Amino acid sequence: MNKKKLKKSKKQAKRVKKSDSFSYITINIISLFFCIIFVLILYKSIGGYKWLWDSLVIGNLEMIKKYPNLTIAQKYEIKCGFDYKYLDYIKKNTPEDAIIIMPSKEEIYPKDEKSDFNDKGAWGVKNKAWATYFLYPRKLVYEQEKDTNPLYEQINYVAIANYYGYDKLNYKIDKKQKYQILPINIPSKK
Amino acid sequence: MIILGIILVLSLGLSVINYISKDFSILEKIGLAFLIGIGFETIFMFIYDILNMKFNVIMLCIISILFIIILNIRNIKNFRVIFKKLKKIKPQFPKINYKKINLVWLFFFILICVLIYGSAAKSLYWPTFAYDNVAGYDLMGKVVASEGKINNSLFEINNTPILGSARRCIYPPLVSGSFALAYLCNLPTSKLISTLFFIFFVISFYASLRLFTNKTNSIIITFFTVITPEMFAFSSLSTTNIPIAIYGSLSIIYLYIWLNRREQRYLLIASLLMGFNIWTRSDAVVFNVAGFIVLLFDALKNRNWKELLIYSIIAFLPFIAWNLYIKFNINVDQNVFINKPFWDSNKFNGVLTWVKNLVTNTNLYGISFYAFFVSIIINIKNIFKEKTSILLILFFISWGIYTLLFYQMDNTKMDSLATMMKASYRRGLFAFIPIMWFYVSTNKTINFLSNKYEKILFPK
Repeated sequence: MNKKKLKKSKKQAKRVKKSDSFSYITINIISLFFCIIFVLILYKSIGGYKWLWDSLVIGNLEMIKKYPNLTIAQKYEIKCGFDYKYLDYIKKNTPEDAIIIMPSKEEIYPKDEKSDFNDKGAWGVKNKAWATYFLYPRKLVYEQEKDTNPLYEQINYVAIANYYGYDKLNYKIDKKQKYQILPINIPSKK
Repeated sequence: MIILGIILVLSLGLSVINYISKDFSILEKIGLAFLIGIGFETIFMFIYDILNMKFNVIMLCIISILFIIILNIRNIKNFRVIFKKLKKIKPQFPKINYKKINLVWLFFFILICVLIYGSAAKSLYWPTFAYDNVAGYDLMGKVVASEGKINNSLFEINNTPILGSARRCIYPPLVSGSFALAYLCNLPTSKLISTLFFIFFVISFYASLRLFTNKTNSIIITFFTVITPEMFAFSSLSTTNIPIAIYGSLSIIYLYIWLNRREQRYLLIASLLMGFNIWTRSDAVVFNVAGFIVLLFDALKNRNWKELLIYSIIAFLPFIAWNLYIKFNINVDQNVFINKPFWDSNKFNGVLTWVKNLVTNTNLYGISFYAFFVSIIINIKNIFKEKTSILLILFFISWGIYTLLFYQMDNTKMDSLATMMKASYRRGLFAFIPIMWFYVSTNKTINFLSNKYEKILFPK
């Protein structure tokens, strides 16, 4: 009699277990389904979330996949345009201890001419701190600092932009170029 | 080299946390280790600088290791016991109990991982290009690393900051110092640091939520914090806004935890995070002041003067130290505020209009502000009965002071009010997002629902 009861209760326990695991799986799947729907609704209805996923996550990952081997210089060129290209050229053609006179705003943006440099916002060659980031440890001097910066007397390189700046050289140049970096004095031949 | 640097930062942070208390959860320890470790590294840089010693990676390693040894001296004494215990531990693969799997938790966990991966991939792919960083924090980090001092060649003419950097070079050195650490470890860019800040914040935030609520609720709230659009966009840029959001929000959360549980370890962590908060940006003082006001009332009520003193020293010392350093070393006018109270209804209305426009903009903050205010309304009956009201008080005081700062700002010395609200205020609001979501999670009604769900899922 007892054995029968025991068997019966075991069977019942099994059934409860089965129904427990069934309800556990069902609740889990149903709640997951609702969560997915909820996330999709947020994605479709809130512009910020759509922008985050489409542009910041997927857009960037696609870009990385498309151009996996770009160098840092190429990436800077994409983001900072001609301003970076110009500074990189100066960097490659000057020693680390160079003191460079940079083009003034009037030389960067000549009147009635379209400039290659960025003219939107505060960034670009015109901004000393911004330009220093790419040229450090070289020291930069701007025309507006003529009376305040003691390094003005020690300038040894001139950055040419839009054919301006040749007048600062202590020698004459026959072939003028739109963009150039030149020593202020004729380099002595060893 | 950078791996060694990160290990050192984590060990340093972990040593500090373990020194405070060994009772923190593993997740809390992991998350906070980086945030505290990197903060201490920048303090070491500052100490070397005021001692007039040029620092490099070896000098930072030496002082960090020394500090780790001092903090672990108790453990070194018990080395044999610990070693014996370690020997007894047999490596075992964790057993996965399929009946304990919570698919909702797993779903949001995977989403968070994908989002963090997206942010990290973007951050590490692009070099630093945002204007504020190139002409400010990252430039400073680069030069600090190269010259081994904070008062460096960027303060070139009569110790004034380099032209075009505005006041960015005189921001407290946590961000620029952490970038300097990346350059000292020979990395070509400092973007890894921004990524690490974000990853360890997510872990810390989840860990702090777990102290109050269940797994399902915690992961969903963490997900909503991570997907705040504007904040997520900045997580891959090297600005000061994300570190402020991290230190500011976590310090308020930990202060709330202390006021709730009265375990001193939480007060110490909150104070440390407050200290690092102000070591990131001086205008982040709003959180420190809010904390001070609440603790002052608490001290008046419960006579917790010792706790108030501990908090005040740790949370405000970096602010005093940095301002004195700037005063005696750098030639710059720091004050950008109108020092006396004034009434300008146009400006006041202007500020309020901007605040309203920003907080209701779902493109910037998603549903964060809506969820927060709905949560307050749902809870309105119990709002003064519950301990979560302390969190609300901390939140509204800091938000109020933060908004007031923009009203008191002297716009003749800074950009126009519209520009400041559109750029600075907008980014500063990041810091309030995690606090808001934390409140939403600890809300009685939401907690009741999520607990009910977990009980149905895992009946005991």
